[in-house]
Amino acid sequence: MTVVVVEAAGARSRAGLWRWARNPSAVVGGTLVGLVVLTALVSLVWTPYPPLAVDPSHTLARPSWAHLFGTDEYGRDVLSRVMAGSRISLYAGVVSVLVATAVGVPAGLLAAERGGIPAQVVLRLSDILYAFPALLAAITLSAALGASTTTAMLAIGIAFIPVFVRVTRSNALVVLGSDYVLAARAYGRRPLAILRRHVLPNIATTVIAQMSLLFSLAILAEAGLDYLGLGTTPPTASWGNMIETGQTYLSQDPLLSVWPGIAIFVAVLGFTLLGEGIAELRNARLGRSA
Amino acid sequence: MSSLVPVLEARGVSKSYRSRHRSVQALDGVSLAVPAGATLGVVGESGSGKSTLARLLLALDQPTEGTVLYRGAQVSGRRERELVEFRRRVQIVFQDPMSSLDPRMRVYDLLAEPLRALAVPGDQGERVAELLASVELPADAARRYPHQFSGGQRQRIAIARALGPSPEVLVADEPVSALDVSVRAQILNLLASLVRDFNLTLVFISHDMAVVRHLCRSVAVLYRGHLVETGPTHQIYRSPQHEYTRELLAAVPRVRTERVRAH
Repeated sequence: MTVVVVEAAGARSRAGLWRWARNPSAVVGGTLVGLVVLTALVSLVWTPYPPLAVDPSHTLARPSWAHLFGTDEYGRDVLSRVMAGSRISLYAGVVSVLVATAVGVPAGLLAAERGGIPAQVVLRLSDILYAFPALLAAITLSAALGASTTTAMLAIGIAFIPVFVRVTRSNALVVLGSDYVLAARAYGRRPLAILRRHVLPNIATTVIAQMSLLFSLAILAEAGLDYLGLGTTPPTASWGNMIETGQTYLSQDPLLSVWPGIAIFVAVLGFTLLGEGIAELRNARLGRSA
Repeated sequence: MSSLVPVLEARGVSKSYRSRHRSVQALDGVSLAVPAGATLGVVGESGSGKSTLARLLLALDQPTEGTVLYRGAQVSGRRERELVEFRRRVQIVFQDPMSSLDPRMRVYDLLAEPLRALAVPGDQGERVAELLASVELPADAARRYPHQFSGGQRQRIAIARALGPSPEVLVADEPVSALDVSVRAQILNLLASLVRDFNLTLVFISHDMAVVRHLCRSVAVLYRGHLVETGPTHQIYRSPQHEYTRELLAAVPRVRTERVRAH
């Protein structure tokens, strides 16, 4: 039996790969995301120069073979800093989306499964969070905790919670209303087991697509908070604070802000397309029936 | 195990659903006893409360009034953990096999789930193979997904799943009305032979008198939430007492009835 199941799983994942390969959003998005992730990984062990190494004799240098993206106002290598900045962006994206998922998905499941007063409480709290200006929350948090990457991640993560509550609840309600859940109750599955065995697997793709879409927003938001000085602070390289410092030297070296801008563009586009690709593939799967 | 105690019984069961503006009385004071070994057809048009009755009999929903009993013991209003034995003994097949099978589960898991959930003893793999054989599906069906099967085959899977815990009562809620006409007879014949082979007590819910006549020895007629007539199938056919039963019978095409009967 085991052998049989393993074979079938292999065949299915091959079919899955093929469907992926034919979806342009998924392919382009996946490639861009792969590029950003690869850059972040490489930057852990190698960058052309140390991202914090100052060289007073080569400040604001134009792109050259020695410094492909040029140098900034302290003579630091911009390419190295863009590479190092990818780590901050990915890290912030991962943590903020995970925070939002870890709180939003269970809350959405609770609201869907229990209904009644628990659902009302969850949904009203979620509404309040949704209506609360995220920027104000970020300012408050950085006032309380000091500006840092962590502050930015938390602020973004909290702001995203309502999205996951809504997505999870509405999709879970559909699954919970299905005949196969009724059948599961008829053979004695309890609510928690039903959530784990039927609801989660059936809403997983939607939640993952949402995570990818919000990941791109989180990168954008984190860069924005860094730009405003509420998140990652210099000298640590982040795309947002690089744009901000580059702004000061816009007349001398306009490219200084352009490089991190391109990086943000690539990352955001990548995760957005990937999210859309996942959503499209999911819809294609649902459309495909006997 | 006195044969006098019905295996499944509804006593004065009512169910109303309340929405914000109005309340709908789906069932009103229905009393129904299903003796062990019975094949009972519950007929009525859509909206007559048939499916509500099925849910109540399975303790999937609570009656607003009245009680449901299994072998004389009350099951309605009980905690789920007290119902394990009941769940092993009473199983259900739903109308639409497109929606009653989790699309993300392989057939193996679909069939193994009740065995796991109800801690049915014995080798799971063997039992799944046995179940597939009993509904005349090939053994390699186990590793496929529901969407890879036709409607009739899916209903076979749903029936196999219900048979997993070796129930004594099978409630079938319109099990063929979502299927193509061409496969209905196959599924009905399969049900008939399973009832015979496994000594099942069958509660067969349908709007189709002809089908009920083919499968069931007794009939209960539901009309707008009321039980208007019960009795042996042949008697109800010969001399229906209630006006509504006569209408239902008149809706059955004669020629087809005779042919189905001949099976």
